[in-house]
Amino acid sequence: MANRTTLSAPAGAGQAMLRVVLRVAAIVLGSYAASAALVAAATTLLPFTGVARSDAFTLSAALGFLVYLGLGLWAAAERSLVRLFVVLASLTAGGAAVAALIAGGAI
Amino acid sequence: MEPTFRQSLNWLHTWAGVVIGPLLFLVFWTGTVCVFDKEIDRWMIPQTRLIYDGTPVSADRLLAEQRKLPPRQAPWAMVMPNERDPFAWIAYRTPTGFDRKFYDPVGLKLLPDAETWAATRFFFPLHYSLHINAWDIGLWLVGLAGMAMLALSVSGVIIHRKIFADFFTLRRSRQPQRALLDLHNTAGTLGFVFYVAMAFSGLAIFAATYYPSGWMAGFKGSQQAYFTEAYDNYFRPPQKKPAAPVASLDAMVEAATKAWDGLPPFMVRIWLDGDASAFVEVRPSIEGDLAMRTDPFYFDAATGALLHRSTTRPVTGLQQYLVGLHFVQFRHWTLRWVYFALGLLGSLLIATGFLFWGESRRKAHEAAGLGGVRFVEGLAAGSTAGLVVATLAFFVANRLLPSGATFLGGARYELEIWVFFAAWLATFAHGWLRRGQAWIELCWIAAALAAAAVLLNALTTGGHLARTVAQGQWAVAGMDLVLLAGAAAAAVTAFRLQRRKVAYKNGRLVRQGHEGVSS
Amino acid sequence: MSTALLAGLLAAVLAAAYLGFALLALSQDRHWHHLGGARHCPPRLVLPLRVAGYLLLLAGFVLAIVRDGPSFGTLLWVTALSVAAFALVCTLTWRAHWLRPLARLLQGFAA
Repeated sequence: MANRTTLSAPAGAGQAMLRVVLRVAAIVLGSYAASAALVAAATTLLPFTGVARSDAFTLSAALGFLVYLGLGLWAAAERSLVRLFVVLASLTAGGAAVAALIAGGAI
Repeated sequence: MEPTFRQSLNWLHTWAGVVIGPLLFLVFWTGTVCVFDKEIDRWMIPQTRLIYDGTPVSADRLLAEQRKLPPRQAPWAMVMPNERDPFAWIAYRTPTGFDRKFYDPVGLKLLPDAETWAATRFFFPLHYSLHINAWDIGLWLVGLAGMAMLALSVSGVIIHRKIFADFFTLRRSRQPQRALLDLHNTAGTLGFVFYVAMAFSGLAIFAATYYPSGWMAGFKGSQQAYFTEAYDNYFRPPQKKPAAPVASLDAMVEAATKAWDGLPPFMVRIWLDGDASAFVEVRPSIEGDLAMRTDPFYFDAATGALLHRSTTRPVTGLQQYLVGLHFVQFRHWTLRWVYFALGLLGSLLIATGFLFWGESRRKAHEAAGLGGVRFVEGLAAGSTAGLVVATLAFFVANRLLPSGATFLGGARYELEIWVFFAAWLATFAHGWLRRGQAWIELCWIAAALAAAAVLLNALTTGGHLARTVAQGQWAVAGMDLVLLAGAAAAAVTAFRLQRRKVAYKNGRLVRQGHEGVSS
Repeated sequence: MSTALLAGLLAAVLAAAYLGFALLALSQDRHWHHLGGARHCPPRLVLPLRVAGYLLLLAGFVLAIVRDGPSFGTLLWVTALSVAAFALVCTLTWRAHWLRPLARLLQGFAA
């Protein structure tokens, strides 16, 4: 069932290990960071459509878990580590920027 | 990472399952146990084995009883009796939870203190926070397990190649690896909706903990501000002046009950008790509805005037459906039993997944002459069957330890918890030391402990099955019956494993290593 | 609602789900064959079996709503589906002969 070569590739074992560590970090931490930033952005954005702020947060947090799930599954499957980190980092930075600008009163 | 999407998810499923498996089993098993938390409480706290006939308890009389207790500087609340908690109680908040004083629902006589944390204070917090309160580490670990459960469920469905063709198929295989995988697939497919619903609703309950980013951005860094708006909570600052006497609580309860179309009260709480700003919160019973609504009324403590009536916001109302779905505090015995059954199925799912991995590793490792097999086998036995044994040891300890017992500075309730963790640790050691025999022996131990718990309950409380059934003490009778059923199931499993082991050994000798797969 | 009616409706919810899944299982070659039928489930029976199976599952939903109302009823139905499917899988695995009469009845239709 499990692909047993994944974690114990003899050739370039150090590099393979690093790739696994990065992959796991992307799944667990990177996807969470991106989802958390998107939750923050949605919480600040939704009130512009007339939704109360608390409802905005309750809703976006619940959806946030599903975003985290989707990103995590994708992070396990995406072949290019570079593309993976670029997408996760942009989502995190973008979401955080939107939230910070609105919460800070810039918009 | 792997050549195909499906293989990548297979990789994720395997390793997330292996790493989180033991924690996930702990969360699922304790969750299953907590479906009957109140019933376990009745069994473990014999002085609360009462029967409540539904007569309302006077909040004023309960307040008079509270005033007789030694004064404590802690927020407190009074909770009204119901079918599953057949006593009125006064709860003081403590750093680790709450301290409860029980009153019989008829005469409001103070009952002896519980010398156990039982299910509501031990298994329930273990389920969501592992009793690790520093920096909410426990909550975060359980949250990680919840996310892992979602990822495992979804990836499991995707990597299962023939989910519809195999939907109704459970092959009877003598080969342990094959049988484990089939059981794992069946338990996973059939309970899928339940596992996803439980994992998701569990996460949603603590959404404000897991996504601080949201309220930090939306509520200027104040989690309290979010809760106040979402639940429409009322508060007013203390005046630091002594309070006037409390007006009639019963009149406040009556006013609230009328507005709730006759729904009885669940909780009455005096905020800022003793201060001139003191106010009373009255919450309705949560037994009648799937959604766990709060909608409290707030009254001025001195005059009884209505200060505020909360209305839940629409999305918060939806969230309360998720919360209610997860907490099972509603009154619906069929659903309670179904939850218990599906919880057991989920525990089976996690255990078989973990054991399947161990079994396939064992073969690979043995073939390669690698060590570590012993470690994995011990881990597998201890983290699944061992937890069940520890739970049963906790029950047995509860019936064996005398009232007021202390040991090495530990109070009686702590001794029970020590027994739980000592028994659990011992099963890991047992798994290491008794390779191959560990499962059979753990099953026998579980059977013996479960039977002993029933016997000790009868001996120490007089509440044997004939009596509890005759008196309609269904909480205690049900607990005894589940323990007996568990003992029987464990004994049958032990017997079968023993027989299979002998048959497998003989078969392997005859066929010289050929794998015996039947029908 | 009386206790007897509640119990009856609960039994009906579970029975409808169990029977619905049984028909769905019989529409699969493996179980059709396993329960004494020919190697393949007759093609002209597959669709009727599936439609009847799903209709029974749906009937269980209606009964659950009648019994418990929309919120509890939906939850009861969804969880009852899991319980009934698990019961059916256990029957197929360890007590398949219990389902033979049903299979024989349907084989009569096929002939």
